Amino acid sequence: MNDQRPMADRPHDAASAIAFATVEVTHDIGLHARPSVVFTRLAKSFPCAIGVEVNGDGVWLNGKSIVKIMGARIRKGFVLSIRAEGAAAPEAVAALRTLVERNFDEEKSHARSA
Amino acid sequence: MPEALRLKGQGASPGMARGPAYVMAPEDGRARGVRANGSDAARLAEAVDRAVEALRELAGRSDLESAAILEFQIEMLRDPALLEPSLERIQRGAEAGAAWAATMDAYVASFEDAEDEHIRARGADMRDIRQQVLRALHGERPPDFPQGSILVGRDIAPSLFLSHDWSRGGGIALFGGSVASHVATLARSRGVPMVVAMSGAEIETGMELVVDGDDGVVAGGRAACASELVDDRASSLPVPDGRQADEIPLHTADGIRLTLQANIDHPSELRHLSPSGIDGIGLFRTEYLMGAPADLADEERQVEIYAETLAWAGDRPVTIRLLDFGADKPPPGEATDPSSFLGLRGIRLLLARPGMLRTQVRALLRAAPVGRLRVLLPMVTAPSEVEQTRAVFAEEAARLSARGVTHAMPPLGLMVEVPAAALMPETFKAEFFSFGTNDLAQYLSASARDNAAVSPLYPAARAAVLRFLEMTMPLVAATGRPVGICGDLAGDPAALPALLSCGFRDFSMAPRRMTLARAALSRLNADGSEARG
Repeated sequence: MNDQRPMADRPHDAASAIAFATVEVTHDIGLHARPSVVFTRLAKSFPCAIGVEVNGDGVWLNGKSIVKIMGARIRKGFVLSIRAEGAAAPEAVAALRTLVERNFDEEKSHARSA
Repeated sequence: MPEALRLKGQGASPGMARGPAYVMAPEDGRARGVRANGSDAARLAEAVDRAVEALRELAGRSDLESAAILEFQIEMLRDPALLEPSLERIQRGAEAGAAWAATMDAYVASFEDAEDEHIRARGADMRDIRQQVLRALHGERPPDFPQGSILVGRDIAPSLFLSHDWSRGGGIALFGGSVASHVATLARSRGVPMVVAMSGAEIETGMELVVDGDDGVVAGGRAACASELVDDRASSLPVPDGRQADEIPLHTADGIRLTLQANIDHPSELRHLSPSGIDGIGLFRTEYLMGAPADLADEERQVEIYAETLAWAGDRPVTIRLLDFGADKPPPGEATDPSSFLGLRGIRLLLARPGMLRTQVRALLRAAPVGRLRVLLPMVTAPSEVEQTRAVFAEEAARLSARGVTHAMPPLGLMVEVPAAALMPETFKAEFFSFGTNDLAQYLSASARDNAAVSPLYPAARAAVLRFLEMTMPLVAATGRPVGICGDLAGDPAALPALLSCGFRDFSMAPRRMTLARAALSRLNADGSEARG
């Protein structure tokens, strides 16, 4: 999940951890009221700064703002980049990525047979 | 019929409501441009706080589903991303209300021009939030309307729907609105009939209206009074609890014990039922709980709903059917696919797309310790489908064990609706069986339920279904496992003699069918013959 992407808009601070992940929204309708509440509440439970970029458009939204997340109208097929900086950054990114995957995993094929 | 008013719209919540129209005044969207005492910034921040408090208070006395929608509004209001741009406008000289209204208008507009109906529908929530803060700022009370009215307007705010007392009936008829809106979801769960996207016409407050949420029609004036539909549905009112309790347990005229269970789509229907008046929930169709794709992934919400139902039933069994999507009931957010009547439906769809199955399975496992849960598998054709589903239950149970989460494994049963399964019951590792006659009729007669061109074939199908049940019931009974019937036929008094004669003793039906069925069954002998005297 670590990425070499430059974080030009933030000065690098050796003391703070940085984590990054991308995840595709595979759900048919996307991130709506209830999932946005769950996503931003989870984000707010971490002390680090969390940014979300939609489809690599270069705009980093505050991952703790439901107004920004809802306003991005995130739909099926969109790729979310999630980055966190500060304390517990790797945990925050892993938790948010898993949340998106868990919420939108309907298209996965049935892995096991009886 | 003179003065007949008949407006075609789109049904957003089923059922029939009748009452005087209450025409809502168009939203007073303007902010008062008057200066008040105190700093505008402080006044706006206080108004937002008061609006949040009011929503918390409303959420506190709402059911879980409603509270979730209010939580969404609270989260929006608490987000500095709305307050900060408003405060910037105030710094540039705007009055508090005007600043808030301008911020919200810009935000609402970004939803209302969306192509996606689910995104557009959120615009109603944003307008609701906008108005709540403006009312708090101006010291105005939230609007309401007389109980039992048919609310008529362009759209209705979720907070208005939730603060209104619907216990005396009433309905909603909107010129705008959306079936994807939060209010539509709430109306469906509370049984408030609702029509949206109604064609325009002059409706005045006080005019007698009928809202038909099934067909998406609003009728007024004499047309409403003369409608035969109304009389038909009037008999469908729930039975008073006391009367049910008197007649439990139910026996045939010659003293054979029968059970009568309820078919439900949502736990809100339990409000009209007394657990002491019925033998349990024979069929809980869970697909109707899923108003939005996000609901499918919301394991906690499902746990709450199942646990609530199990707790209500106490020591009586509750049979929950796995999500039966496909054909005329697509998963939320997807198009209907008539061809899937013979394709990916029910358990086939769940096994092909196991994400939603696994979430539901976890929720069922977690709720199971609360009561007597049984799980019914829809559209099963082959034994391997039951085995694959059981394997999913076993895997999810093992994961819950590993996480130390309390759970229990419920018995798995077969919904008997595919003729091939009905003929081979002994090949299935199922712990109980329940005949679903609606789909059985469709598959026996090769006539799709939603195709009007073949509907005349249904009377012939009915006779064939009864003969088919007569032939297959002994095969199922021979397995020694419990068997019941939960299709429309089970609640049809005319079919009950034949069903008794086939050997059925456990019947599950819509609550509104119970009074007639109970009366009919108690007058019959166990062999289906009419009791003498």
